Amino acid sequence: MKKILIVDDKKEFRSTLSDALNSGKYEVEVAENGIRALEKMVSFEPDLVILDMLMPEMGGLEFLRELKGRGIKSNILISTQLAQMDDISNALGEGMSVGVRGYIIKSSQSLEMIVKEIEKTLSSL
Amino acid sequence: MTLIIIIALGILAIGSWVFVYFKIELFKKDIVKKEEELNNRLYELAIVKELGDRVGYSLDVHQIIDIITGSLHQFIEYSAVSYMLVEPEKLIFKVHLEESVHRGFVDEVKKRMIGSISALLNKDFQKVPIEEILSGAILIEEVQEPVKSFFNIPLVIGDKIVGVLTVAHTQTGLYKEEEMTILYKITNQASQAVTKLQKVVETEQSKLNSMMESMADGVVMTDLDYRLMVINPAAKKAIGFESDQEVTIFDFIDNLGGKFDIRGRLEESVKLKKTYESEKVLLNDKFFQIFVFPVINKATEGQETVLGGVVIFHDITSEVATEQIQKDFTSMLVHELRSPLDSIKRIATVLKGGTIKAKTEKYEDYLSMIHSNSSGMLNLVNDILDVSKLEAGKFSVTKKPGDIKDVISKRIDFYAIPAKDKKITLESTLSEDVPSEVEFDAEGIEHVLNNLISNAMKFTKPDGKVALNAFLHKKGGKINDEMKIAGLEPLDINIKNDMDAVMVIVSDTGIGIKEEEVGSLFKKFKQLESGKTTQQKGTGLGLVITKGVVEEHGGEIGVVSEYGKGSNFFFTLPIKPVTAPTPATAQTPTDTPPAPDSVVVQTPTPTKPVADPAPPIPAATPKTTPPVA
Repeated sequence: MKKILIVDDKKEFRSTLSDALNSGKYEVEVAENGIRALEKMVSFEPDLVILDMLMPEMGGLEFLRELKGRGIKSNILISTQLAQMDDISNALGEGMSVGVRGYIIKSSQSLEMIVKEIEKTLSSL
Repeated sequence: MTLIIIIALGILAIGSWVFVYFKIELFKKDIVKKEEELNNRLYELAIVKELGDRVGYSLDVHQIIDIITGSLHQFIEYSAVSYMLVEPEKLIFKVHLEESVHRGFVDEVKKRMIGSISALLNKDFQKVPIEEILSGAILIEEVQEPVKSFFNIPLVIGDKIVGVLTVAHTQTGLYKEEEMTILYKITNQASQAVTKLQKVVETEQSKLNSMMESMADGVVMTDLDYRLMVINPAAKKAIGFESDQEVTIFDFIDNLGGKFDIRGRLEESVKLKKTYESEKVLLNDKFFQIFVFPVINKATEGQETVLGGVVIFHDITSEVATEQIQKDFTSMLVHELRSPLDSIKRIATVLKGGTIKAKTEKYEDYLSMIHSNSSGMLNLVNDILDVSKLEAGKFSVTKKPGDIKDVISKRIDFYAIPAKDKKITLESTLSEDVPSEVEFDAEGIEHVLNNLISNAMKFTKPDGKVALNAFLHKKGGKINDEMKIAGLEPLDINIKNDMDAVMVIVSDTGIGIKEEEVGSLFKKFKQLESGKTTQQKGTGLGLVITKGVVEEHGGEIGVVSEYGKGSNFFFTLPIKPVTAPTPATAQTPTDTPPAPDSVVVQTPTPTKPVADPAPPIPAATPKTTPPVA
């Protein structure tokens, strides 16, 4: 079973996405910031990380730098708001080497679309 | 005897007659002289006026001399009047003929004038090119009259010989002392007038220059060959030069690079008499709007001469910044409004999927998320409405007598759980001198407290502390003394003290606010840089409304903050005695605070509320509610 880690400071997003994904097909865990996510990278070893960019304590960009520093590689989908498109180019620049595969835009994609995007990415791994 | 008397009388008569005669003659002479002087004076005035009217500030020597020669004919007779001006690289020779002469006459005049100029300036002008302009009567070769009378005088402007003015006639012996005197006087007067005018122009120019120097906009003026005639420090700065550096048009062309075609725009402007306005142009971290105008001289009516071009660099950096802040504000609002909607929609999607069964914990969880998201949105919409009411001046509060202490305690209780969740110590100290019944708008003050407490918690890290202190600020009382009595560190808060007021201070150990950002804190559209970096979201509308509520109560609001250490937000709620005097107000006449000095000495500025305050201070024992979390 493929393992997915959802990193987002918004409880609503974590819950809804994990419930939408968690119909016995995937093993899903959540983290509310970069620090928690780093712990889960080791303990959970996810196949795919859905990574929010703007989070308190440790944001997405900082998380990617940490991964690079620690030599941890994974598959990552950046999740962001439409208004923060700059994040994506920054994250791609920072995260290509640690496995950034693409992005989802929370403010314009419905839950179903986000799930489809995740499934597509997982099947290409 | 009779004869002697007659002779004596005769002598006397003759004497008096002679005396009277001479007196009259003297008078006559005097009158004639005065008349002459008056005439000359009138003429001088006429010249000066004409100079002023026609020449304006252009100070073109040709024009000035044309005016002189044009009106000379009424004073002196001549066949030709001419002037010769020394220009760089050439001589200008202009002749006006009153009657027809032959070419030889003009050449003779020219030859003599060159001679005079050479002598006057001690320089050989024989081989210098001459630009000749002939006007008036036509040349007729049959008129063989040579130059028989000739007189020239130097043209002096501002102590400098600029040329020679000449009158010449075909008749002989015309120019005697009288004519010469007139001519001297006229040219002398004209020269003085021009010199004065030149001074006026210089003063005007220096005024203009100093104005240009101090102008915020960059100004560059060029002539028709695009040489810089005028440039001010702001223009040099715009292209990254220091104000004392020499700058040419090429520096502008180079430094504006592909951003602005200064040469092309100037050419267009000068040739087509067109005005140009640029879009915003970024030069050295500043935004400019660049304007290009032709410089048109309208000295004579109906005639327009383009003298050059002007480029103005108008700094619009602050406008661009304001525009950006408004854009940011709008996109932030949109985000804050759609984010809860997105959440609700996602929750609906999950619930519709049917995997979450009703009545389960998860289901209830989602319901409360929908609830909190929708109420968050509702609050935001209310905030937006409140702010627009504030802006329209239609915001008002409904004051009713109520227990302010109770309202504060309830707010503190409300935040106990979130504080515990975030591992923040939340404590409150309500001094006993705060009257329990005060007139206020309970909903409004709740809003104020919510805003200040939640802000304080938002910017305070785990293990930090948020403290609310309330005490009575007496009419005429010194705030620092009162803070010490309440067991607080003095904050040098600057507020009115014209009536009793409840003072509420919410202090945190958060990130604090930079000094330069404090000013914009209570304004719409503000987004503090320090807030952005910690990724704390918020609309910033809360403080705007908070300020509105406090001010509607007649109170004041402010903040004392140290960046990196924490902030102290405070507000006052003025007290008007309700129905019966409350214990606090009853105390006022007798319990005036002790002399400030004694307080400073006797109160060792405790950081924690003290159970046993300094003896001379009555009724100020703070009642401390146990800290939550």
